[in-house]
Amino acid sequence: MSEYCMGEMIKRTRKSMNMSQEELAFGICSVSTLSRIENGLETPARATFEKMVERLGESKGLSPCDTAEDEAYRLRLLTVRNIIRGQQEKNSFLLDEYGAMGRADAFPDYIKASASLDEQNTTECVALLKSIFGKKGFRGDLSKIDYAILEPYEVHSFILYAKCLSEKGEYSKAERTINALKKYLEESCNFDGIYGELYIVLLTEYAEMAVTMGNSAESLAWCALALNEIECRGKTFLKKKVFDIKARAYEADGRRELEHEYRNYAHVLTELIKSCAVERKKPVAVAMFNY
Amino acid sequence: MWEVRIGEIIRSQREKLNIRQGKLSEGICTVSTLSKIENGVIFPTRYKLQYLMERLGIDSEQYVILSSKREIEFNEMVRVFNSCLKKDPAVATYMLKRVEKAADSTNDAEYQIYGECSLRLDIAERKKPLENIAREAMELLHDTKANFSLDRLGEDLLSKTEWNILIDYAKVLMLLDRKEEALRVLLGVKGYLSKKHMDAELIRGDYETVLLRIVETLVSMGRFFEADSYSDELLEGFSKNKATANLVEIMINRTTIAINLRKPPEHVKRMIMQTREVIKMDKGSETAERFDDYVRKECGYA
Repeated sequence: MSEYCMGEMIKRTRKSMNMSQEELAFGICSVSTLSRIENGLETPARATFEKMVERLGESKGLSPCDTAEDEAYRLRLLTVRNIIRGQQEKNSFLLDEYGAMGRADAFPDYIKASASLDEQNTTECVALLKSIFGKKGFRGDLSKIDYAILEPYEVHSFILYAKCLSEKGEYSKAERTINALKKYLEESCNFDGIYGELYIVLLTEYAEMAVTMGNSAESLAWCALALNEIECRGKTFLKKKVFDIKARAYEADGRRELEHEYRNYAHVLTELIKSCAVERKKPVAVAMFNY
Repeated sequence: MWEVRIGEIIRSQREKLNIRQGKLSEGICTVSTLSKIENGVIFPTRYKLQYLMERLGIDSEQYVILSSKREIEFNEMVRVFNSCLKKDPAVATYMLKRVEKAADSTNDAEYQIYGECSLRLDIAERKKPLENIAREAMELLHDTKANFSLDRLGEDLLSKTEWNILIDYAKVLMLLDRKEEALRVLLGVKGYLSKKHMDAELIRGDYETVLLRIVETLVSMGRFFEADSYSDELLEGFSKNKATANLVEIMINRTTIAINLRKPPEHVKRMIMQTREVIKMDKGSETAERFDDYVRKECGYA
């Protein structure tokens, strides 16, 4: 479940707008109520909450409830999930539906960016990503990230951006981006759903970057973190990639045996996926055994 | 994009499935609360909302939900409890106490989640008599479903926590050696989960667990032929999702089945090799060697 802590969100947005509690609460509720809401001690009534959202404005990605907006969010989330899991083929239907909604936001840019990165076209990808950040008001500047509310596709855009930077050789910048993003995710998100998956993707990217930079010890540490997350959350779809990275790191260290071992693991996983596709026999009539 | 719209989603799905408000809200909230939620008059608390959506087979992951800090923390505690249950029972015991303290005892849904955690720990530790654990599992279900009975599983609406309790109950039955009963419960849950309106993402992990338990049960009963077809279904899920959480168990069961069904030797050999690698990958080479020993002794394969 993607969750935002209501109080936390109000507080963040209010602070980012340099608004005091008195200003926000004026005419809506008492200051002490607002403070209780912000600290998670009280759940606001719907009317109160909507008035506050209205006052905080739509500029920060907040909007009072809106059916079309909600549906668009759902489609965006599903699309990002498929992209992370490497199941892009499932997306065409979702994208058609999204296109039919005729929304003018940065999401199509994100889709194009992720496709152009798949085709190794980093220049185009960076240009597209920059336009996404521009719309959100970042301009490559991550210092403001603390107070923003990032949707899954925006988080993934940052990951892609870091990947592009590292491919262009700007490692220190990429590292800064990833670290800022990691801090953001750890502080503000619930890891049960898609944000947990994005976190695993982030750790894996970091590990891959480190091994490309020739820093195998660090890469192994990040791999271990990623594997731990994968294990804890039961989200195994990136396991093979982590094994590949580990093998590369061990190769760089010259530890042949371990390298072979992890290459083998990655191979077995691919093999299994392939073999069960080939082995499809005619189904045994399961029904006759059912009660 | 906020929570308010979720009321509409709940209403439209409920009307589509032709379910009455009273049936949906049973044990979660009163009918009037449900109708207020549907009309967007109030914010439901997180777990009420989650239970309602799960009973309707909606994956709530797709929606942004605003919740209070306490609920987010409670959720995190439950997650930590579940992840350390296998590794470190002592930590799990400590976490369970924190979960109990954090749970809102007036909220049936939250209290049932705490109950399920405690049930899992009991099963893992096996300090209590198994009969008691089985009885407690059933009582736990009665918290939110006063008239629950196993015979009417097909007509009922279950939330994720509720069907997980049933899966755990089946496990206790297995340990009690009441395999037929366990199999019936598992097949019931499988039937429930494979209903059309269930969101694939919501049931993915649990469906896998249920299938795996069915395979295990059938293997232990010696009904390899049926086990084989269920295990095929499991592996098909693996190739579709490119991953599963219980790969080791799946492969071990598949190997046992292949050996017992006297499949062609080269086929079995390849499977043993694959299983060995998978075990090594997940549990380390020591366990892989134990598997080697097992295969050598039991089946005469080198």
